[in-house]
Amino acid sequence: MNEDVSTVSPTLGFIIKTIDFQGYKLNIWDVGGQKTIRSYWRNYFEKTDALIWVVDATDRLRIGECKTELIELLLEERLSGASLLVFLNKTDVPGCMGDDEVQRELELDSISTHKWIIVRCSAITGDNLTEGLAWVVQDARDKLFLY
Amino acid sequence: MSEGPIEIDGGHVPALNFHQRFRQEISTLRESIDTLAIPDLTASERQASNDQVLAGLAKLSAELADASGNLPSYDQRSYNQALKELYDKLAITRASQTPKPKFSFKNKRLAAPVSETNSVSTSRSVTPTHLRDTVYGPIQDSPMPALPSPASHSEYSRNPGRNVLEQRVSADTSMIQDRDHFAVVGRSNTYVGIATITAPGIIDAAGGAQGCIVSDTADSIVDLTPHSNINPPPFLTITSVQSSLLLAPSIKGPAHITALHRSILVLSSHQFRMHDSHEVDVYLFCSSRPIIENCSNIRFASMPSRFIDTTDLRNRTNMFDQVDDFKWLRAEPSPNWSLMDDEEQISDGVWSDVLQIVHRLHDDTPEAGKVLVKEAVGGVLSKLGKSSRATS
Repeated sequence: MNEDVSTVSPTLGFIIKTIDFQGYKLNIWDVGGQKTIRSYWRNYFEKTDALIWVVDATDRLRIGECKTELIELLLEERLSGASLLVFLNKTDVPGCMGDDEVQRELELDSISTHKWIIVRCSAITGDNLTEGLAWVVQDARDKLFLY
Repeated sequence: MSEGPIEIDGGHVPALNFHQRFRQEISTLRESIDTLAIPDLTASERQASNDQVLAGLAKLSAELADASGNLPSYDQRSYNQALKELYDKLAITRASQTPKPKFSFKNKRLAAPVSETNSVSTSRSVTPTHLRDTVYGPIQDSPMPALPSPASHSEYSRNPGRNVLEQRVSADTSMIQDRDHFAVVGRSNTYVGIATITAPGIIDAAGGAQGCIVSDTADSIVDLTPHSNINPPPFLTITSVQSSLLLAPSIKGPAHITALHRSILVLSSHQFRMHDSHEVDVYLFCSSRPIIENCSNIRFASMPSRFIDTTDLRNRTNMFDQVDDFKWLRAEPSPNWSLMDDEEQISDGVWSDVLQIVHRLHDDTPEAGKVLVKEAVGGVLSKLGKSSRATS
């Protein structure tokens, strides 16, 4: 995304960002994952088209916690219309978890209430970031023209 | 289609239109869900209609949210209820149509790894026996000192009386051992060098293709300094370790540290994430802002230049002093971490002495007698303990 990533650090709190993408304006609410602010996530659910769930492919230890939080989140009524993009980040690191493994660990196949996709990516190399966002845009477009 | 009685809302035309349209779309969606139950559909057809119904429900939810300002609360409630019922109906229909999974993911950790490989085709091969057994084979015969804590992994699983956190960690650790990691698990009073945890064949030709986990270890030295042709692991996980010296000066990827206590950590990594740890001195080189969460008494200093072995690092910015505490949301500085003054840090002279012994331990293991190793490790840790607070 043409940004210097060498010193990017995890989100502390919340960041709001607008990206111009394929002729659409994406309003992105980057919500930090820290435990102390998870209870504030719900302030951001209104009118959400897509939920982008970023998973650390090198953090096997917390993948269970990751699943629990995701399942909890998908129960939210105000997110019922949102599609789910699971970004498996840090896949540039050798020995990280694969998408099949994470799909299994997060039990994505049991999700019936949301349209979902899992995409391997790397915020460092920029791999697949565009592909992931393209899915989000296409999905929102499908919803728009359905009727 | 039965419309049912329509409440005339005081001639409020937009609201009336909404009522009509909403009911109609609900009814259409209900019919679409019913067609999902037809058994002859192919998987892709079924998926497509499922996605279409989901999208329709999503659109309707959004419209309902938009119209909520104009709708009486009774209608809002009943419409939300109608939507919810459709979601449930969809879920039930889908569940009845989806072929039964060949095995249950939920009890995966209880299932034997072998059955898992048989039933799922994965691109990665799962090590059939516990990696644990093969990886620390070279020093497997060393009798495990009967320390009350931290206990070995198997003791955790045999002892249901332990607290939840510890059980969780041990369960997750066992998961990791099934994978292609190399691991240091359940050690105490010993030295573990990178050569001894790198069993032949574990590292692939590209070098260091596996992350390393160090867990359930106490009163030990774990040395992941790269030596000759052995590459350091690309990422590092530390969990449930206490009163130890950990040397990991060349981790390229992230380091995840959980439940590390009264220890000294020398680390260079791209990312630093520490949870549930207390009383740790961290000598760090990190090119992004380090994160701590639910920690206390963590002290940071720059990793001494003697540990820096690549020019790559010298060209990067070290952000060891710009720590974010995720448990501390106020504007004042977090009380949970601090920077070490020069006199609080381990001096150059002490590092020289310590590393001399560490290098000798590396070269001698496993020939050196167990007692000598134990004494040497104890000596190093107490020496460091005098200069800082490890093992104190």
